[in-house]
Amino acid sequence: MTNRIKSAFTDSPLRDLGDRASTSLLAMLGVSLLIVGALDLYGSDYVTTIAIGITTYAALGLGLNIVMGYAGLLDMGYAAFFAIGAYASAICGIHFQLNFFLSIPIAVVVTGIAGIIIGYPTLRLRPDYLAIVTIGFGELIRTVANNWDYVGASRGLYPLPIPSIGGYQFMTPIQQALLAFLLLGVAVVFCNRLGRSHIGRAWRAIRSDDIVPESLGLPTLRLKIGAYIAGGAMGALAGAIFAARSVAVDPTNFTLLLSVQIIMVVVLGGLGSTSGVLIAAVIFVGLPEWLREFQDYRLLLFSVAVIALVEFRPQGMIPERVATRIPKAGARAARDTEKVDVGRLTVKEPAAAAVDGAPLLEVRGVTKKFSGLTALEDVSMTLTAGRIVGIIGPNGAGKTTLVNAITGVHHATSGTVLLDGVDVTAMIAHRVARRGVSRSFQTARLIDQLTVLDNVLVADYARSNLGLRHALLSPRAIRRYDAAAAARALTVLERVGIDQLAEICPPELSYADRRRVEVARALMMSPRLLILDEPAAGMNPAEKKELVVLLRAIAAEGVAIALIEHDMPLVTSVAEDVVVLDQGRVIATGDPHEVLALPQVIEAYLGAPTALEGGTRHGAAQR
Amino acid sequence: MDTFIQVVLTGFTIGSFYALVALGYTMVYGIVRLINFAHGDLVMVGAFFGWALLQLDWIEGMPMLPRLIVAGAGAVVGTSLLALVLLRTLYTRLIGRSTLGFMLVTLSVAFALEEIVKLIFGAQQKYYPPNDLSSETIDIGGVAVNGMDLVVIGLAGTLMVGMIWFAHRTITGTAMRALAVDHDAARLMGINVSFLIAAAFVIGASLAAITGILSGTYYGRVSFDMGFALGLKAFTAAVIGGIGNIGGAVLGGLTIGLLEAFVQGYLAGAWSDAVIFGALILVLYIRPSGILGERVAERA
Amino acid sequence: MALLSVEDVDLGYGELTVVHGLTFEVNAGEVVALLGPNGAGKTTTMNGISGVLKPKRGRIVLDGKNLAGRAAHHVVAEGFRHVPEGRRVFGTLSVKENLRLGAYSLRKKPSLIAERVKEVYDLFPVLGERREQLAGTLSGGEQQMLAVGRALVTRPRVLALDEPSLGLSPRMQHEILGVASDLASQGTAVLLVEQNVREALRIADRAYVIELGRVVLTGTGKELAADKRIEATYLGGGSDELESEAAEA
Repeated sequence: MTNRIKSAFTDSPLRDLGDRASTSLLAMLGVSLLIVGALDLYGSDYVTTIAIGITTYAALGLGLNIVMGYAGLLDMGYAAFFAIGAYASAICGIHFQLNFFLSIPIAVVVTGIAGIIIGYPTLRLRPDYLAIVTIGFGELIRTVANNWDYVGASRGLYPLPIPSIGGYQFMTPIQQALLAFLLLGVAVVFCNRLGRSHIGRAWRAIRSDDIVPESLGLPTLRLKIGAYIAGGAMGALAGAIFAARSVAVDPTNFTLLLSVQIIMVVVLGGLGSTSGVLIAAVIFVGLPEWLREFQDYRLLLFSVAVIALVEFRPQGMIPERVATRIPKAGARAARDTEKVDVGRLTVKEPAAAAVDGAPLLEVRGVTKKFSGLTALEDVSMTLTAGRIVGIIGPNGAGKTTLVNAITGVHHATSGTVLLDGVDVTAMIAHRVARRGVSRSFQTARLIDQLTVLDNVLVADYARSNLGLRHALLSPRAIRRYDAAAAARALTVLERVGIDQLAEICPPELSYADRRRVEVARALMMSPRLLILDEPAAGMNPAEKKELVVLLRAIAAEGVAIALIEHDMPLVTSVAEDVVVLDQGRVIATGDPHEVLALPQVIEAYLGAPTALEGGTRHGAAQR
Repeated sequence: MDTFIQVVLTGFTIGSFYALVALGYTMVYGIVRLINFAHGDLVMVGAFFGWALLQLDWIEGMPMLPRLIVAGAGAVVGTSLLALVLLRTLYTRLIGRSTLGFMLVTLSVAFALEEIVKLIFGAQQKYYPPNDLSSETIDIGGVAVNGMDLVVIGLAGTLMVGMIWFAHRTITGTAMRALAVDHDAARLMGINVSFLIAAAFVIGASLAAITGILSGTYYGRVSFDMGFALGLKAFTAAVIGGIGNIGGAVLGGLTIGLLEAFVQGYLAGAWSDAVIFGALILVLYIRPSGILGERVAERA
Repeated sequence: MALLSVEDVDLGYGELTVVHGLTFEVNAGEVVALLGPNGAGKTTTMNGISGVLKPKRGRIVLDGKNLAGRAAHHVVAEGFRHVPEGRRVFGTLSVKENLRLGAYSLRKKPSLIAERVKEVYDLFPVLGERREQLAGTLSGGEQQMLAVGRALVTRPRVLALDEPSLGLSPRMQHEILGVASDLASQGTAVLLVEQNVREALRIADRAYVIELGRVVLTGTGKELAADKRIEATYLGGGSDELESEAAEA
């Protein structure tokens, strides 16, 4: 991570500094001031207090929205972060006489540490385990707060110092509202930026499964922990403000019910939708105040509302808008003048191997066993930059297992996989991908909720030099990069012949087009080694011809291609070498035409010739 | 020493409650791979069905045992019907489609059930009629054992053994275990998958209702908010024991029960929840598949 | 009238249609092979008949009854058994439990189940030796026997085998297909999806070649075994045209 931030810092022009005081931020702060001004002029203390209540729920909703909306993780103990933030800030104030504003970063850091301790073991497991562990975490924190004398046990901590900055104290409701609204304004802008950034896109990509995003170079576990902690940090901030304006914290503020209520706010508003969350917070806090009779039925009605929404309108009141826009013609033309590399389709930097002719990929004696069954046995093969190798063999021969062993989805039981001389045998999938290995899947696995363009853009994550810093502070850099990346994605889509489908979501695509999106996605990573698992399955002859042309062009750019394919005409027409697998073993390698004439290969594919003669014990069955 | 035995006994009793609820969790989770957050509240619903039936005039005159049996049977039927209605109207369309959606809906159902019961019966605790066994103690090896403890442990133990027998010795139980592996393959065996899912929900609801009645009889009181926390701890028990594993649910339930009893007996009651969830996080660090959970083999 | 006839069936997933207007039939005592490249729609067709997937259009008639759109357990009860690709045995259950589940539709007659399971042990003695072993620990060939045995316990009228030779040694492939052939000679209709084309065409009475979800070629096993186009589909005998055109571009 540090590496990437560093490189981002050096690579991206510092002119983005001007970005930080961007118009969106100023506008949002303006809106905050307007609201507070209106409250001051027309509102009573009572209304102001409710408004502050709304900001608390809104801030918590925005934080949880990162976890649940963007990354799709169910955190049921979100109140724990709220509590840790509030208590950390309160401890700083009471035990260390620290200024409130200085206590905020401390609260955020403490929350982050707690987030890692809880998130790391849990997020490796099934996604739903997070729900139960976070409930436990929430209860754990509350129990500790309730019993620990240092934090006042059930009495809580009070009175907290009044937040002050340069002698200005935030004391009256309207002053507190000023503080709360200004900070909420900042939070809204940051959450929006995060959601629209490449990180937000990566989060949406990991919502449904891990294997595909990993193969695209997305560090799924780190992204999940990141979302969990980013959400936690928001919660901590909200907690600190809450503590400061209540001048006290006590354990009853941080119940499971609060966690559930925040979930309701996010679901009502619309998972992933910032404006939805804000409106839902207004309704959630404001409605029961407005309709007093509503109080008793509040939880019941909101429960029913959540059920109704999930069943009939899962996108919530205001659905999230995620589709990256297709760059306008102007931007598309600009891609050539921009310094961002969009002209070349593939190789980021030529592999050292391409220069000296050494193999790019070396598989040495790889064996893979699954609970006793041997899927691969002593498989060796090499791939060289700029060459196309066909990996063929009957279904079940171990071809996909071999690809999984190369790409880090599974790790070889024994043997080694060397990529450009580096041992990647035990390397985790996204790291292998970042070293320039990209793949397509046998059954095209696309992210159904994202457009074709965004599906392809997800694969740009590893390639980009942008970090969290840019996502939060340099929206213009992100936008500029995105426009360039989208232009490049369109070029790639054009190359595979489906740029006109860029704005469509995968469920509406034909089988062959889904495969093309997969190929485009793999190309978007600028791979050095491209592994395609049956790219031609489901394509008609004309489409196959286009594929042949494309594969040759990619190889001509210096990319090594491994082509798993059953379509022999296709294999013989593009592959310089073939490797034949049968029963997990390599039974032949060499020139395609020669290899396909070998009796053992014909046997593996079409069955043993002895069987053709029919002189077997089952001969009787023949009629 | 007496305290120790007393604590163990209490642990087994509480553990029996957790285990019965954990069994329902583990069966449903094993089949649909989804957490049903409303399951714990079915215990509460069962307890209130039972309480309402016990108030009826026509069974008031009966002796305690038949009275409890009638109320229990009614609670089982009522709770099962509720579970079926929820499954058909709300859950079915989410199963296999949206994990997050299923969890959100069951969570909301849990709160809705509590609110509805609160609206109907009020927020105050309701008292079960006293029974002779609670006040009677039996002397076992110098330790005074409450009769109700034995009833709870005995009945729960019988149900647990019955469940293990069902899962491993009957073809329906075997089919349910097969569903945990592969739904489509099970369909090809002629197994009516949606029927078995419904059956698992009904069995889970029945065990929950029985737990509700037992708990009402044991503690003498029930309240609208008794279910959710119980459900969470039961799910924790199922995860610790190895989710999807019937024996694991029993083992996990008893482990949690004993843990709780020991913390309450020797430390402070207030810490017991913290210890239980701490144990859960520890187990997930060390052995994520739980005590009896099989390590799911990698598939090619 | 054929025992099983598939009439003008469309199949697909969501908005995607994979199989278009597929029509074919299988008679009792006959082995019918469905051939074609991966992605042609063979497995989808099998799923469509067995009720795992609902057809979008068309009729699937087994002995006069339309099965299209009926749930899988009804289709099993009508006598159509589908042995899926990749075997899909229940790995955490024992061999015996797997076989008993195969006879789930006979669950009201436990003694009949026991009898049928014993028949499978007679057919595949190795399964009998390993009856208490977990199915996940069997070898690939043994798992395939178990998968077939699991279907045979209900004595199906139509047995559909999807890639039964997948990942098996040639001897094992031969043996499994031999069993299929024997079953047909005893009157069962066998529908076979198989990549081992020679072996499949040897035992097949008739075969249909499917490409992109449509039947493109049909004939008797012997006719197709001699047909050059079959070899071209699988081994690339007819690649000249593709190569020359690609070279031009």
